[in-house]
Amino acid sequence: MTSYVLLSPFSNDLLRDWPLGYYRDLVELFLGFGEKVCLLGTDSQRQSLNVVCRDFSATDVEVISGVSWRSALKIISEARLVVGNNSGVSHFAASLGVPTLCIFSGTHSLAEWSPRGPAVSVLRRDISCSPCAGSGQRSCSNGFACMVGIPPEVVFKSAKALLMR
Amino acid sequence: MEKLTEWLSSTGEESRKNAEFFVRSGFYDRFLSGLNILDIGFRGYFDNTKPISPNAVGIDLDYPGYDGSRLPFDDASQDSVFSSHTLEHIADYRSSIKDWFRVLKIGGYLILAVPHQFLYEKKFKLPSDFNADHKRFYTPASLLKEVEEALSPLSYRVRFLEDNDRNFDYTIPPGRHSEGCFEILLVIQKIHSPAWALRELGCLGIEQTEVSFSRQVPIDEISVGINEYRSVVPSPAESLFLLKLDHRGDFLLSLPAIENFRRRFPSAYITLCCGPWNIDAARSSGFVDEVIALRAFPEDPSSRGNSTLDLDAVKNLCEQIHGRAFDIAVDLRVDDDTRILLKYVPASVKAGFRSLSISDLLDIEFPFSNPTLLNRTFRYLISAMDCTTVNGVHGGSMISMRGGLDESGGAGLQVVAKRRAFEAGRYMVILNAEGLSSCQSVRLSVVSNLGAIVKVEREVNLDDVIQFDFELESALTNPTLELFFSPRFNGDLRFFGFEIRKYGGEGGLHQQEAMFMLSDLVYLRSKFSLAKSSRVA
Repeated sequence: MTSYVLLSPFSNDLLRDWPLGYYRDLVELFLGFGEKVCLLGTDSQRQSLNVVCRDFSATDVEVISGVSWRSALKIISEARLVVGNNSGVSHFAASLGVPTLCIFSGTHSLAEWSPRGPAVSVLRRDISCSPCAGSGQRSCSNGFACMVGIPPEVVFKSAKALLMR
Repeated sequence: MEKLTEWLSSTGEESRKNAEFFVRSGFYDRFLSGLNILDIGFRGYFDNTKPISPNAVGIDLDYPGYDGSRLPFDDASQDSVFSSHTLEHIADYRSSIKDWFRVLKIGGYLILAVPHQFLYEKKFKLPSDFNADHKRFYTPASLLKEVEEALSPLSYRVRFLEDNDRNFDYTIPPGRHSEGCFEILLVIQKIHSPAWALRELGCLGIEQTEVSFSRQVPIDEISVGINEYRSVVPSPAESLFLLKLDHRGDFLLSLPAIENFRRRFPSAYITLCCGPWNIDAARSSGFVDEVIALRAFPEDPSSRGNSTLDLDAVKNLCEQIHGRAFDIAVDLRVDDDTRILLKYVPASVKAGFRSLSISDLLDIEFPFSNPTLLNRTFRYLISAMDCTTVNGVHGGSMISMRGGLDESGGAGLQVVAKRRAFEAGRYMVILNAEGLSSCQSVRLSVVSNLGAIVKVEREVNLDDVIQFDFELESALTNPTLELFFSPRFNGDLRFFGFEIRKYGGEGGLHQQEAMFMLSDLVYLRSKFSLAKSSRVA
């Protein structure tokens, strides 16, 4: 693909991941806007990537999994825009100067962990139960409200603004 | 059977090689004997080709109503869909596999045959030497990968997979067209997706659980909003104003930080404002472009008995920097008494150690915990009035238990005190009581809502001062202290209270390190910051 928006819908922690179904909807919004989409993950994340790509044409939505970190960096650096969670891919995209939209869960402090770079937007649902990380929990008793409460349309709007910045 | 083999021998170029195998092995019976069968791309490069079964409808791009992407057949209408050596010609393999699967009945079969990368192409990378239209090379793994992308893992099962090298001639090297079969054969069967399939796919993110843990905080739904924060990249700082008004020793310790400002802002004009006694040291350091003297403290505070900020310093500073403006102003003093001076410095960004007494002054704040304050010792005094007892007699300023009342060695005296919090650290408890020799031992428990954190017991010797040591690895909120005096009851016990002393701690950052870190913090923030730009939903 010559021009693409890169989505990396993972992190090292389920509690930091925006729902996969939302990423799927976001892909649809990007395609409707005339963008091609590339999905990036590891081999172990392949089945989750498949959930996101399944409804779309292989020529519009490419899935890349299990490539070397060096190749991943090349894919990140050549993207028109990177959308990700509070994750390594977002941090690298931001630092490489690629327009980066980070969907940031309430688990962590934004002051401590926001991606840093010249063209970063962070979307976050500021919520009274945040931050909650650090006590070792693997679940959320508030229904994951910080992430479920950020709809794909809102993310898409910010993404468009970043693309046109 | 003969008749069928004969039919198969006039099907597509690759399929006809399988005629005998399909019939004899039962493959045909199992996967291709239904009434409704589609053979996708059946014709290949030859006319007069028959579809894969006498029942099958041969589909090519010229089939009425077929545009190459969506088959003109209803969902769940077919027993089998056969696609031999077509998938490798299709760019959007995902949509094709999905559409072929769509028309299958539950229980129906999708039979895919594709050229094998190492039997047909015999090379690692595109393009194909033998067919320029091949879009991809296949191995069993890469074929399955495409199927897994296209179909829900709970909608099908793999029933057959093989590298078909029947009659393959392994003596023909790469670069020459292979002979014999050189394909991968895959058959998948459509199944009923179980009801739990959607949930299992995890589309909605992590599941809500009933687990309640101590950190649960309810959501204030009214004030919750989605905010967007955007990166702000400040223009490079051209002028820095550094304030270091302390005495000689403190100034010496700040030199690595000042040197770091020079290194981090090599082309900036750096003005250093220091006590008159440090002017020479500042100039000879070579780290700054300009030195301004400001007497904020007496040079020898020991003669004055204090070291408080001279209020004339504000006026003096304002006069000296009159008409000037700086990009960044930094106060390098750890104590916050000089921070107020930054208020009077015209600068876009102000930085320093967090002040406990002045807020809204600093744009960049280093939350440095002074090791002296962090590790300081302190005392809690707890009197009998702060305590409760169940089995003693509470007389206001004293809790007592008379001797000889409980010869059987019963309840003993229990005293309970509640505290709001304990910091982590090492503690000493000293009892204030009379007649302790009426006890065999005294036990101390520190109890949090998670149970007893500390349990220490001391034997009582005559005229002993009872003292306990305990250590808390982490801070506790709302702890309860329980003292239990186990009885010997040869006299009265009178309890007046106790004292808890926190031992001083060690460790933390040296001022020199803290100032250096502040300088790097200013540098990093000067490159990037994040600003809340708008509430977007």
